[in-house]
Amino acid sequence: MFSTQWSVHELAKRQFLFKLNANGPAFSMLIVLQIIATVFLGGASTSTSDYGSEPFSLSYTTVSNDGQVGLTLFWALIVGFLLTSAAQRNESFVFVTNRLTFQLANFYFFCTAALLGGVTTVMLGSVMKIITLAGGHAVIETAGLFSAPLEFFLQIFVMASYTLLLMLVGYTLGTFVQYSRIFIMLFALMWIGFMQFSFFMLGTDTDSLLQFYYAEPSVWLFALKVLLSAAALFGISFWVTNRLEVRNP
Amino acid sequence: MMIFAIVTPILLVLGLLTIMMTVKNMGRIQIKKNVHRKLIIGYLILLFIGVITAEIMTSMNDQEPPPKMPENAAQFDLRSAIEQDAAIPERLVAARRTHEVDGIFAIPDLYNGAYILIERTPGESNIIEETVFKPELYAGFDVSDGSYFDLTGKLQIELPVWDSRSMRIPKQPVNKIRYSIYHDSNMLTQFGSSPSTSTGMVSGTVLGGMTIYLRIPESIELDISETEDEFEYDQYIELL
Repeated sequence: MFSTQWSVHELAKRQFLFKLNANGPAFSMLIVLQIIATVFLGGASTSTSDYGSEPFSLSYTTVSNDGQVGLTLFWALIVGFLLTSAAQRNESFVFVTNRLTFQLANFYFFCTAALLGGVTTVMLGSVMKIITLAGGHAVIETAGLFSAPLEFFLQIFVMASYTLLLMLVGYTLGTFVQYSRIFIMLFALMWIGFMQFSFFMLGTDTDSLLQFYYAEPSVWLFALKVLLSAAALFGISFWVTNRLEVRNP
Repeated sequence: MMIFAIVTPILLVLGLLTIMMTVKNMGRIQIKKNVHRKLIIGYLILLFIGVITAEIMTSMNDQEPPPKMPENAAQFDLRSAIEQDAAIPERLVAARRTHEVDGIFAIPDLYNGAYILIERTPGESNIIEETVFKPELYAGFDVSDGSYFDLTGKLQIELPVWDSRSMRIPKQPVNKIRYSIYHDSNMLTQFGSSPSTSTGMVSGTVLGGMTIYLRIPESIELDISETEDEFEYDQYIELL
């Protein structure tokens, strides 16, 4: 008998808020990485070329926010992976909780982190626009918040979706690794095989795996694919976590 | 570009190590929790200011992307078109003029960034018809629809200077055409109306130099043998 009856949602929410506070440095790290991408990797996503000779010459520079997108996705994968660490799981013992609320809290955390990643990455695109415009002779090819608000929010949605997917991929991989260290070797081998296969068979199956999301022209179908993939990844990690010891060393 | 090839992996490795160390030691890091919160809020505010600033700057920016080259129009064979009296695209024409000369016509300085084609026309007249063609400048290969960008119109040329006996080609101005093109990551523009690929200005080519086509009546005596360099003569002036 308990004097207070907590619902699953309430428990998950409290745990989520705790996770949000406890993982503050992860968000700060995202900011640091995005600043690094803007200051340093901005050059990597900028290409300048000169053509022609005197008296005619053409030079053009293309700038994009590819660097920020790449590093944010990289951050998502690592954060997803690290959230399965034993330390993270043991922290949940502070609460009266079970596997379900633990996983739900993690999922809420991923959604929040993905949203923050999506919003900040898309907004950083505007900073890159300012840098481009400051250089003069700038052609801005993509619409902004005022000129095409729907596109702007769609960009946030797309970025948040990819960030969420990458986090869940990292989380699922991390869960398998927590289950058995053998999976480290297995994943490494799978990765090498995947890279080799992609290298030799570009334009075939591995390509279509990536195209499954990227080539989807319908927003609704894309959302459905992301949702189903997220559910599948989350389901797998939930299933594996249920087979883990309650408290890992 | 080489420097980026070296620096990028180093930065990625450093980034990975930093994330792993920070997240692993999150519990031990002695930074107050609301410092992170303040940092995130401050960052979002800064980004929002950035978005507004970018929107204002973009609306004030009147730079247009270069026009697309009409299909199969690049690398126009100007010399053949003149010889065969075929139609020449107007985009290549810089000027059409007529000049009255006093019996003898001379071109004292043969080369100054121009190629001269002379056609002798039958009949008695002291009027020379001059058509000046711009060099053709096209850039890139747009992967989205497989066309070129036509930058010919952006080229500034100095037209030949005429007097009653001769034509002189002034030194051509230096044309430095510069473009900075911003496009959002292709991944983000998956559903937008903006091009999902960049303009694809992957290369630029200047075809030929300024071409001056002169139609000179046979009654006008030509004096173009003043050059001492026969090679220069053959290379830059031609009688059709």
